[in-house]
Amino acid sequence: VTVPRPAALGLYALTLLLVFTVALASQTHFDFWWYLKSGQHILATGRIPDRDPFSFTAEGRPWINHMWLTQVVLYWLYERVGRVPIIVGKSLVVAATFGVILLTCLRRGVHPAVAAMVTALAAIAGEAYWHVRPQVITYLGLALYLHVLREGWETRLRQLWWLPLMMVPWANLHAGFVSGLGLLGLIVLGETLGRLFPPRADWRPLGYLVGAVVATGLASLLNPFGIQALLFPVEVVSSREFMTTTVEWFSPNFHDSRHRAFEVMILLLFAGLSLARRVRATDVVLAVSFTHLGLVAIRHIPLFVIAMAPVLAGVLSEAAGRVWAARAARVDGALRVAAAHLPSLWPCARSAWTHAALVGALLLTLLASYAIRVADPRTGALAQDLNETRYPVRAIDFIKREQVPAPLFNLYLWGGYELWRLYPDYQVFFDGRTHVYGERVVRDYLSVAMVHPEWKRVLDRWGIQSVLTSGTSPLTQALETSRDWRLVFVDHEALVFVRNTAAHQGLFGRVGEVVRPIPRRVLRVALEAAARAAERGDDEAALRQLRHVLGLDQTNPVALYSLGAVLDRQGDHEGAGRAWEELRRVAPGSELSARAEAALRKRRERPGP
Amino acid sequence: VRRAGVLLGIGLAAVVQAAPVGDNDLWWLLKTGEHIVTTRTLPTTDPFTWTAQGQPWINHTWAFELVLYAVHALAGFRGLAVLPVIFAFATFAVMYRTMRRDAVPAPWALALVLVTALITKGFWAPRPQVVTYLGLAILWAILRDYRERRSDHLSWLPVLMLLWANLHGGFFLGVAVIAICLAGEVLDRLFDVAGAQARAPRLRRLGAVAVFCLAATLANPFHARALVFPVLVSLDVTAKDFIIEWFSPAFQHPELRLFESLLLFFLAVPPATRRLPRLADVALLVAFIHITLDATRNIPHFAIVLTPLAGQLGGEAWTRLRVALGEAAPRRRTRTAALVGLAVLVGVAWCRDLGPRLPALVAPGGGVAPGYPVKAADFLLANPLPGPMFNDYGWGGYLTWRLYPHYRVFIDGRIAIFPPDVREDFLAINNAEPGWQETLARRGIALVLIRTGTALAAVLREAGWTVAYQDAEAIVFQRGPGVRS
Repeated sequence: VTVPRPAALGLYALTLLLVFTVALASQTHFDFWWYLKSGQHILATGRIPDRDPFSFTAEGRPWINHMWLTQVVLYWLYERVGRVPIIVGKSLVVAATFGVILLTCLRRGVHPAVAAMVTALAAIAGEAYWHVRPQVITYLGLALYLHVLREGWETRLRQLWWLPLMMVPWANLHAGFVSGLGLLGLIVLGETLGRLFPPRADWRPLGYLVGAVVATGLASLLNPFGIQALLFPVEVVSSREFMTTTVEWFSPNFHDSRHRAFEVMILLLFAGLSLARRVRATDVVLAVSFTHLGLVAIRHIPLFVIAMAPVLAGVLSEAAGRVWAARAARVDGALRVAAAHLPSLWPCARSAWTHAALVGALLLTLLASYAIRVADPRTGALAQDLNETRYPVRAIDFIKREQVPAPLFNLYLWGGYELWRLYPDYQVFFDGRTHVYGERVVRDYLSVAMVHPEWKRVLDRWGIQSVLTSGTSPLTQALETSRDWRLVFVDHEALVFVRNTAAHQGLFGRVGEVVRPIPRRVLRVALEAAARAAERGDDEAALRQLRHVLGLDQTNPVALYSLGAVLDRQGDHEGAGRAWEELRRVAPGSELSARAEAALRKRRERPGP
Repeated sequence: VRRAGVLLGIGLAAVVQAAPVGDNDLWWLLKTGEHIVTTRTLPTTDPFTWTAQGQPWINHTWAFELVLYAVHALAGFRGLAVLPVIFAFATFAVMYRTMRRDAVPAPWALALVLVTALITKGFWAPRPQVVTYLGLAILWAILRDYRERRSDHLSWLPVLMLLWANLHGGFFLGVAVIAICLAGEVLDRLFDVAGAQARAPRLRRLGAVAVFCLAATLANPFHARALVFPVLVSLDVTAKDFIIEWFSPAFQHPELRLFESLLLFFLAVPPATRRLPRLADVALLVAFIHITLDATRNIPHFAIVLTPLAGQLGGEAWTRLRVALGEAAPRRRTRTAALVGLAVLVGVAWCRDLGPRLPALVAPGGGVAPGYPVKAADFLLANPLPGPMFNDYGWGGYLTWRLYPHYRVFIDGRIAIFPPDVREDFLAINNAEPGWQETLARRGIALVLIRTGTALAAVLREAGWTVAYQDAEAIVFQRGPGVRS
């Protein structure tokens, strides 16, 4: 079935618009803030730091800042145009990446509808990773390399010059340029295997390719760190401490709905390669290598989707053709019967425009769902991504205002933001530049953050005086119960503790007694337990739970109302009246208060059981 | 000589699975077996915990619990350590036979059995899952024989399903495999990609047997509820995000390299073969990859069902390669290479896996893996302390085995029986989440037995709980001033 050219162009435009929206919806969770600080530092000092200036735990340790150029660009943009144009720019880079992928698919002779759908599926498979990070440059670089070396590259040998030329900026924007070199190595391997089995004589183009790969390798050395930038990723992946503690290096959790499309791609790839036979050896080498990478670490999922989208589109096109060609006579018979019973629809379903319209409708539905997500003012990317309100703004303000004593221990996730806001007044304990810190600091950080038995000793050893932590961290619970630490600040997400020593009495005097509110989960679980007990008629158990809630929160309206109701049912009208009166006092005008008042009125009008 | 060699190979593949018993679920299985024997009734509500007491309990493994209890009574923990080896031997033997019938050369079939042995290493334990492993191997062998029109043993399938449904909830996987095969056969008839329709077996008979199999699975004490139970468990999102064997495979760990290699084999090798596969096989491949990516516990299922397919594909690819190379590789050299590879695999399996475990197996009083709160349980038996008790999830079964009926646990491996609030409270306390102290107070917990060195142990110390007992494994806390060990 062919698709008319205008319909095909419409499909491609819709696909790229969908990719752009998917990228827009993907919010940045890591690292952005220390990029800004580093960019600011480079512009202010006029040099690229090769030692860590930002932390007190790794100060002076070597720092291969392989993405210095991205940091400078991001800082410049952030200062001049703000966060939203940066988010839009990132989404345009991602859309350009998938534009290249779409083009690669089409040049392979893939059916336009299959190319559009696989490109859209690939963009959705990586939706959790289209962040404002230098990785997006690597994704674009990979897509371009794959496009240059697509099927038939042997007839376009001049284009091989693009490989070293593209490598020069890439090597200064992100360490992922090494994956570009790796990709070239895999392609050389695949092309060699393809010439060996079955034996072929055209080795000359392969010689040119090897020459281009060597030139690309040399071009990658044109960066401030030379060969060290090339060796750096190898050092990172060989560090066991780094690989076993950084979430990005973990295998994907397929229970997570964000990995559903990635899994669909994997399953289709297995099914497609089972049923396709006109597959290049290079495609098989890439499929095995990139599937391995994607399964080993979630940070490689975008690499998988970019490298595999053209392969998947190709094998699916061929496999679908083979399956359709092998249909039994009864399939045609069934279709004829269907056509006879659906006279008005069937001719329409056979039109080439209808197929394009069906794919277009699917893409449009997806586009609408992502657009709604992006536009949501509470959670959408335009309102929330790179927005400081997602970080402990008030806690940092408090630390600056009250000059909370240093050194300050911080959580990994907030290290970058803390660095942006507090450096040079405070240095951080740990942040997203994990490789700078070395294994000892990573171990110490985990000991404290995960409250290992030695957590106190580690804090003492580093002389930590203050801790900035989150409400859900186990460390918070340990500090809260410890007499050695005192809570000086709390809001809905962050807490600041200071070592409880005489030296800090001035601060304690200024902030007074700070008490953390009872977690809502505790009250909710107890109230639910009370409701279940009341439902099954176990009033004593319900009363026990409700009194437990009121012991923690004397003015809880739900507990007061329910207490009145249970007591009333038990015949303790006086007790019920007291609970409801209390509810009217603490929550006047509320719906529960009105219901209590109605019950009291009813009780006054018709006393008795 | 050849048969003896094969038996020796399969025997080695099974023997390397021998390990001191250390499965967290074994203990409550044993206790339940004891409970059934002593009370002569099958419990349908939970008797062992104080948080789920009286809750409905679909004890789908009841017959296997009796087997475990009998083996323990007759041969102790060493007997229990040998039990999975017997199941492994039977499973591998069936797999080998399946591959031989698929015309996979003997050395390759044996090598693939050893690969399966290494992939499934650590899964062979005295737990009812071993029944599912064997059941799947037998089911798949019978289905393949029927499909290839080699022999027709379909009549045995309902018998197999009847036994399986009373031994382990994994029988559901058997039902699913039959359903996928049936659907695949229908697809193959509609789209004959493999060109196999000329010799296709009768579909109607397979359909009728599938219905009988489904009916046979209902012959268990819980009837249709036992059929629904595995589905509910596999859809239980909280449990799947909390129990390690339900996690997606952690491919970054070197232990999974071999499994990953088998998985990637299905990407690399099919394009190198000339013949297209049946759609039924493609459907089975996709289904098993899906369930294996979903949960680590399905790795053995994947290996047992798909290794025979790998043998067949590998054989075809090898033949094609030899043709492409102009039959350059002489047969004798191939066989020698295969046998040397086999010897290396056996050596690696033997040295890396069984060697370090042997001393623990043969030592006097041995057979039980370390890592259980043996002495803490002794302490609690010698010094009765007031409860109720909060306990580590993995130790719930062991504590039930040692302490019931003197103490009842908070939670154990039967996650499905616990109401949502119990699970939520368990996680809040265990992970020292906000409100953990209030949750302990609301539940009235006075005794805590957990692993030494956890965050909860640290915060309980800070919160002033008394350490009643402590060793390298376990720590026992008592609320307020209590007995000190």
